[in-house]
Amino acid sequence: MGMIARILVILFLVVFSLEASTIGIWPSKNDISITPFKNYKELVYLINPSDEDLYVDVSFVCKNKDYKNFFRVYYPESLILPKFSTFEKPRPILIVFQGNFFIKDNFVLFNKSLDYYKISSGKNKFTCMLEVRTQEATPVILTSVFDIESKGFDFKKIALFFVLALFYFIFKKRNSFF
Amino acid sequence: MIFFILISINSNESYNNILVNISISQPSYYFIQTSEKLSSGVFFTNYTGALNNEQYQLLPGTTDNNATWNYNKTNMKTEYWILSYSNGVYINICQGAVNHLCSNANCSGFDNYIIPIDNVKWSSSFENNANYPSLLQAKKMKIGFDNNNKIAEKLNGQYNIFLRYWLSVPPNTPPYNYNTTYQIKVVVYGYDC
Repeated sequence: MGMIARILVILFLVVFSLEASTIGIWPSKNDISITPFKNYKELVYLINPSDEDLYVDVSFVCKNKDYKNFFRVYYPESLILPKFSTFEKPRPILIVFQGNFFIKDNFVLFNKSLDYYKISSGKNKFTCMLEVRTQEATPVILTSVFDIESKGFDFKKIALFFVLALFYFIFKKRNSFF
Repeated sequence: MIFFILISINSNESYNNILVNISISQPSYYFIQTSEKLSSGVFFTNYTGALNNEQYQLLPGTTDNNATWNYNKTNMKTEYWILSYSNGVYINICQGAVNHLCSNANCSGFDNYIIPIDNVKWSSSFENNANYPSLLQAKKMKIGFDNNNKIAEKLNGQYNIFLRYWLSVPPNTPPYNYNTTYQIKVVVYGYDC
């Protein structure tokens, strides 16, 4: 049943897209978690079942404009969507996320704001969108939401590890005396 | 030995009784189709032009001038439409202008004249006839995207949305060509445009 519905949709698109521009996107929502020293790859797919190639601009925007401090995003800024690219032959966009190890921060000293870098720690959440914009007189912008959790180092866990290690060595040393 | 045999029989039974449940979830997707007239831009015209679907010059001080394809002369239907199809996700469709209507291409310079964008009105409807989309329900165009007045909201499935546009020209507007870019944006329901 699902397959039949899908074929109908595709036929519908091809038949009706002869005069108008059509563009589709999926997935519409993505949840990802980013940590430093690791690349995260996500694929977003585009379709253009019309009979003309579509030129699109791609951008990545976040509500929190400071997101570049926590992670970097790499994606193609413009691309061509070939005609008749349907669900069976979509155009993928590869988006690569890279967590930052150092985060820029600042403190105020004698009324002067001084920048410094600290190790990324804790969790920060970002709501972002990948925007795909058609290059037409009336552009259409399709979006795919990215709910991103940027995870830094968990200093509590590291501290607990050191305390446990310390106890272990003390215990071991005391046992070696007896 | 008996113990091992029992174990092997039991394990065989358990393999035979395993139920494999695989659910493949289809990713949520949507697509948007815009009419040829909407894709190629919205041009405003005077009363005569609206009857013939042709662009004529507008006079300062005139109100609610139609876009050329607000009323197709053959059937009085609008030729500005959006078809949306979404599966597994609710979507909102918004629209807005990049800038005011400007006489210069980049909207700057001492010789640039503007028509404030709130002189443009638009209306949307799921019906397409002489009465709908209606001027009486029209909203003012905004710069950016208007999250309070969306073209359509919480769509899931297939919809045809029809649009009409009107422009009022303020008195004493100098005679130039005025341009801006309208854009249509689709977002997942629950997120701002």
